[in-house]
Formats: sequence, C-alpha cells, structure tokens
Amino acid sequence: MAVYARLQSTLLHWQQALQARRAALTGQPLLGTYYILELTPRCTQDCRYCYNVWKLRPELVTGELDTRAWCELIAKLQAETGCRTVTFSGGEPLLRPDFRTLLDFCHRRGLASILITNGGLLDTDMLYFCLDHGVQMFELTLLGAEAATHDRLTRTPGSWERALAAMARLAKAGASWCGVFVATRENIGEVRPTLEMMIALGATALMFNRFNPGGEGARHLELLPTVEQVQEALAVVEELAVAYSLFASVSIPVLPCLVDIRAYPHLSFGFCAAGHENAYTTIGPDGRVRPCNHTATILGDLRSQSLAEILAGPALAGFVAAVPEVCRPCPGLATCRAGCRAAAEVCFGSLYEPEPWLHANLDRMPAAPSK
Amino acid sequence: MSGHGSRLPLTLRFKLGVLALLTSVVTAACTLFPPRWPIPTCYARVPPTPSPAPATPTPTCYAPLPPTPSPTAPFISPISPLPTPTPTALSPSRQALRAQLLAARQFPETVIHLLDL
Repeated sequence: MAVYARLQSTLLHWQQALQARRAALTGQPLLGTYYILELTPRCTQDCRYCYNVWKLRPELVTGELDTRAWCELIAKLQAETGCRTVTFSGGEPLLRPDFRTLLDFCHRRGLASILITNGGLLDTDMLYFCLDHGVQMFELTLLGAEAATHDRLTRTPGSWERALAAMARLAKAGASWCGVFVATRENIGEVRPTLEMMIALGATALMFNRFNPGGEGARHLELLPTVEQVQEALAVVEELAVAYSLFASVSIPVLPCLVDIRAYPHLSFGFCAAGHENAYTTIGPDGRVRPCNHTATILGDLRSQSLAEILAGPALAGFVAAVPEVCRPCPGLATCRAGCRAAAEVCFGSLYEPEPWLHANLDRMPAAPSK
Repeated sequence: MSGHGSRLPLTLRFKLGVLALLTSVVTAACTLFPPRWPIPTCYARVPPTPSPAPATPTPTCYAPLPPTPSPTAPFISPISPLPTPTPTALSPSRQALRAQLLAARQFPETVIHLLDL
C-alpha cells in the first residue's frame, strides 16, 4: 500500500507539472497550488483590524457549508487541481464542531494542511490531533508584549494569554509554527518584545504584516501605521531574523514607493499574487471562490462550477488588470502590483482606487500628481 | 494470397496492431490522472425533525479511502514566497532569550507552567 500511496503522490505531482506546462503553452489560467478554506465566518474574537469581508458586508456570505458539502468541495478541489496542501482559516476554523472530521478527511486523501488560528481553542488534545493528521504549519498572531495591547486590539479579554498558551504548547510539541505580528499604529511600538516572545517560544518563522484595512478593519483606518513606524519596525524584524537565523516574511504588500525594501535583505516581501501561480485562491464559508482572502470579489461557486471555469471567467481578469491611475506610470508596478487592491475595493468601493495605506501617503509617492 | 491460408489479411493485422497500440497508449495516459473515488466521508446525519426521541447523530460511512502518502516535498507556505524551514531544537541564543524573558516574568503564569511541564 505504501508503494501505491507513493505512486499516487507522484502522479499528483506530475499532474500539477502538466497543468503548469499547459498553462504556459495555451495561456489558460493556472489552477495554482495554494487554497484557503474559510470554514466558518464565526470567530471567538472581535478584532478591530480583522480583514474578513463579511464583517463589513454580511451579504457576501450566504451560509456555512455542512460537513458533507465541505468534503465534497475538498475532494473536487483536489481532483481538479492536484493540490497537495490546503489552508484552514475562517473566522476561527476550530469553532467548527466537525473540524476533526474535515481534517481527517483531508489527511486520508493525502492532503497536508496549514491551520490559521488565534490559538484560543488549540488545547493539547486538539494540537496533537492536528499533528497526527497532517497539519504541517500553524499560524498564530501575537499583537503585543502586554496583555492590554493585544486584548484591546482583539476586543477579547484573555486572548493574549490564550494565544501565548497555544504557542507554548506548540513549542513543547516541537511543532512548526509561524508567529504573526499585525502592525497597527497602536501596537507597532511593541514589535521587538512581541517578536522576542514568539522567538523564545520556538516560532519556526515570523511574519510581519502591517495593518491592511478590510472588513472590520475598514472601520478603523486610524490603526494604519505611519511609513516611519513601518520602516523602524522592519529594521527590528530584519535584525531579529539575522540574530536568530529565522525565516521572516512580509505578506501584506509594503509598497516600494513608500519604503525602500532593499534595506531589509533578509526579509521576504510578498505582493499580490492573484492570477499568478502562487495565488492563494480562497473558498468562502459558502463555497464561493474569491481571488484571495482579503477581497470581496466573488469569482464563482465551486459547488456548481469547475475551478478552471471560475478562474477563466472575466471576474479574475478584471481583478488582476485593475490598476490605480497613480500607479500606472510606476516602473515598479510589475513587482508591486499596486499593493493590495482588495483593500481599496473593500474600503473605497473600487479596485481602481489607491489602496488605503498608499491613499494615506499619496503625497510621499515619488511621482505623486501635483495638487 | 501468401500461402498461409489460416492467417488474417495483412491490412486487417495492421489495423489490429494499431488498435492494440492505441489501447495501450490510452491506458498508460489514464494512469497520469488520479482515480476519482466515490466521495468518501463519515458524517453525522441528524434524524429529521420532529423526532419523538432526542436527536442522536447516526454515523453514515462511505467507502474507505486510500492511505495517506507520507509527505515528501518540502513545505512551502501559501502566504510566503519562500520555503519555511523545518523546526529545529531551540538554539542556545533562543534558550538564552527564553531564560531572560522568564526571569523578567514577561510570560503569564499559565505559560510558565506549560513550559515547565
């Protein structure tokens, strides 16, 4: 049976390679490798910076799939794409009473998984179940070195302590986990001690994300950090990445026209991947597909359409092609992709608006239009 | 005729050969794609309401699944462009940092307790 399993794994890998080749030759959309499954819109926290689009526009989620529907979609996704990893997110995915069933289902089908959680429900029993059932990476967020800082942003008393306890359990279990710091104007001053706490608890990798408004966050634009704050914080992340030989990434776009990212050579900067091979296509709680987990753009419904059909539609092409006017002349556009257009879409109602952080700093753009 | 009266005509033999070749090619090509198993899951079906007795989930099982292949490829984070390193034992520098933070009582008691276990 082991030989059969290895053969199956190899064939799936070949299928992915063939799809990539076909996409290159025919110009058809590549189905990608990474998929985020938003199992539920429900959450145990009420974070002010939360990007879940349904916090602002509840009509974007029409319901929550039951166990069988999720299993069917996961099987369909795997059959169509040959993907080998899925990411569980939400809301808080551990709120689903059938989470173990879904994880077990993925594991039996040879799918590894990543779990994005606030850690509040990650007790020892659940942690070891996850480790035994293919969870290769956990992503947990710590927002401050003091409970008050963290809990004020999550609006959930006790959430700081619960997050740290989950991190301590991960450390004891020797699990791979990524410590995430969401930098807002309120907590960015605590970036060093916060990251140090996660490093001391054995974080495998660090992720520094400046606050990207969307969902509930769109109501709290005052949380946007300044450019100087982000520059100083990035210097701290760079220093710690070097000192502790850590992989550190910056997932939310830091626009090179505002910050010279070459000053941080040990950080891995990410930019919008929608429509590209490394896109993290998102399947919402009701089975509808979006280009990423920040956007409100719905591309189609995986319950009734194939993913290839969904990704080949005009919605994704329109999403990828949208560029704000101020960004069009920029020579760095091919890399930066105008930052997070999803945030502009959610906050200002149009993909063609500058994203919120750029919007707040338009006067600092090298080629800013004269006012 | 060629004198081998029991043999099939040459053209027919040729067609049969081509057919056999095509069959083997198609069969081999099909193995490139994973089998589509019946949707296999176990889930709890709640009896329809109204029910005279308290609703007790009845497990419904589907066909067993093939075993899980052991992961062989390096892990790539979906939201990071580079591979994430595999976990290693706490390095001396991290151990020193942890000791420093523990001494400073930076962690809450529950965490200190968990680390002590």
